Amino acid sequence: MTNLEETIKKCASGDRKAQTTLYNHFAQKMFGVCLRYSKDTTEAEDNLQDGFIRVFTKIDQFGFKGSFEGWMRRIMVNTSLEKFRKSNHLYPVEDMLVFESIQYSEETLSGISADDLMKIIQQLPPRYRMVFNLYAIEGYSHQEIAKLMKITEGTSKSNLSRARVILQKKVIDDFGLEKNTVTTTLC
Amino acid sequence: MLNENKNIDRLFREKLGEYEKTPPLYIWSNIQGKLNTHRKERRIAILKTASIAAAIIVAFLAGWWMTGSENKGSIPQNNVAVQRSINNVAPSANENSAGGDALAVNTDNDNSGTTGSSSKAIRSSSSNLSSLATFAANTSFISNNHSTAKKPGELVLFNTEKEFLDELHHNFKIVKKLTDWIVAVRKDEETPTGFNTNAITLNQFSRTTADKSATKTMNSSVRNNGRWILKAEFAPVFNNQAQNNGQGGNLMYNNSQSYKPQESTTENTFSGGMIAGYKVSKRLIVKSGFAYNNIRQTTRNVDFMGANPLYNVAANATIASTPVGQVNLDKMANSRNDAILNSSASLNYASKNLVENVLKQDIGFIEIPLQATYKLIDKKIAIGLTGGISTNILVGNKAILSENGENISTGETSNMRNVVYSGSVGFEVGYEISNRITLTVEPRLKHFVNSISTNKSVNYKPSQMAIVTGLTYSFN
Repeated sequence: MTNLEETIKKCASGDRKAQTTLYNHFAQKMFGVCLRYSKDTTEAEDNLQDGFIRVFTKIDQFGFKGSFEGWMRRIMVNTSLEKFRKSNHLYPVEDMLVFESIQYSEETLSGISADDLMKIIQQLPPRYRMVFNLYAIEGYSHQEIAKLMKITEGTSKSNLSRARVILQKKVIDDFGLEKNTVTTTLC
Repeated sequence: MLNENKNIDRLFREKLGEYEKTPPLYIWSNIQGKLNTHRKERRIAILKTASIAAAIIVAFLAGWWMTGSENKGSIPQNNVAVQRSINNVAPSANENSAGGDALAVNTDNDNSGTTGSSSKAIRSSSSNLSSLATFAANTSFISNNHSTAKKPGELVLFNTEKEFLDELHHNFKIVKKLTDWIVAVRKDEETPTGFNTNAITLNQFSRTTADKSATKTMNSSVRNNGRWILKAEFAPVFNNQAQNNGQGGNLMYNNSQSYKPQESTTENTFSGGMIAGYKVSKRLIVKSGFAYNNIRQTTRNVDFMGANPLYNVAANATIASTPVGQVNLDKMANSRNDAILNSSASLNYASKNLVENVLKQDIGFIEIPLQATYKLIDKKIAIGLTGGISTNILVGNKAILSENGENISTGETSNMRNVVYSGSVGFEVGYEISNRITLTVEPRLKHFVNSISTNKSVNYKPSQMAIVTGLTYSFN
């Protein structure tokens, strides 16, 4: 895209060609975001669709003050969070194993594909997935997460901690990583 | 533990932070479709607002124009009244009461043929005299055999009671002086057509009486000039039957004895709304406002066409064809009737006749009429003829498929026209319950000028017979 600002302005005036250009430019990245927040591809597609409709209907409100990609990404995240809130998932907290002191070597890490990790993250209970994504990948603080998800900071911290535990277990199970020390406790 | 947490966070951040994947092509098609719907809805909302605003502006402009032209016409009448009142007075030297101004009263005793010149002269002479004439014309307490002053109540120059009374008090003094002068002149001349001085003995005309008379006249005057009305309408609407458009002929014919043919009926409905009116004259009223009106079509034993590219039907939709238009139904997830809705390209006659299915189409319009009513009889029981044109804006379009009374799918009638025009004529009978409230009953015939569908194979221009019951409030 040669001139993003111009394309955005055209989109705001309803130019279909500009909308197609903008979609083609950002669809892959935004689909990646939606996939991380969803339990499967179908849910991610729905969120991507709703997110882009929101982008195009609110694009005239973008003030050109920050990154457009960041603005778009926030819309996708918010759309996913809203969908999560509406579905009102009440997942029971599962008993889980806690693994400590796991050291991953660089070689091991490079052997794990992004698609594999996506599958793992999608298997997380929805609220854990939301909190982990917001904290570990988007870089939100617990305070911000608490506000976004209408939960307490304590719940956010607890959910993050449990999400990490589940992810660690999955990574070890799926990729057979060596563990220096494994202490098994029941939560 | 801290390192371990950072490790797992880093692992996912590095691998998934910039993760990209190409979404399926249909996502963009879906987005475009929804954006188009969004645009359409916005356009309808804008059109609706603009139409209502235009109707209101037109009504106000009409009112302003009518009021303006009436005021213009009232000036010469005043002057004529002045002239004629003065003409009743015998000419004399400048013994007038207008503060020494030269009163250009016509010196001719004959009342005829002097209107033009004297009215001009008087207009320029004294505002007091003009006020006096108004007073005389409104109250008629100056009686005279030759007087052709306007009837009481036909001149309105004052907006409030206070304003009028102030003017009245002011005029009272002038009238007294003038009358004294008239009496003196009459005595001198003793003309056979003379003034009946008894009738204008203002000494006996107490101020209280004058006030009462003036107030009474003023009330009568204002009541006759209340021009705006507001009407609430409600009506049962009888629709003509939509004719089959022949689409059924494209469907496969089934000789099975268990096969029941599709039956479609246009139902009778109700409409209601609020109408504002402006009385252009005593008998003519121009009206505009808004009313809700809908068309309801019920189809039994529906012939479905299932998902098939040949019919241009999406995999998750089912279509049915009725005289009002083609209905696109969404397939309901986990419906026990998937067998019906998710049928093959051919019609699923066997399935459809196992159960009683009913498809209800509900198409709603907001009607913005521009009507004129002419009163043939304007008594306590009034009779009038109403005619007008209306803009009908599509505001609702839904279709519900039910089976044995249970809703199993929803959708909408496709290719509906957003704006449809109609004409109407009615015969209005009104009963005046009070000075302000009138009950009306009006059989009204309404016909749509264009088809409600843009689909060329659907040509449904509804004709409706409505028995409109209305309650009219007149702003006096």
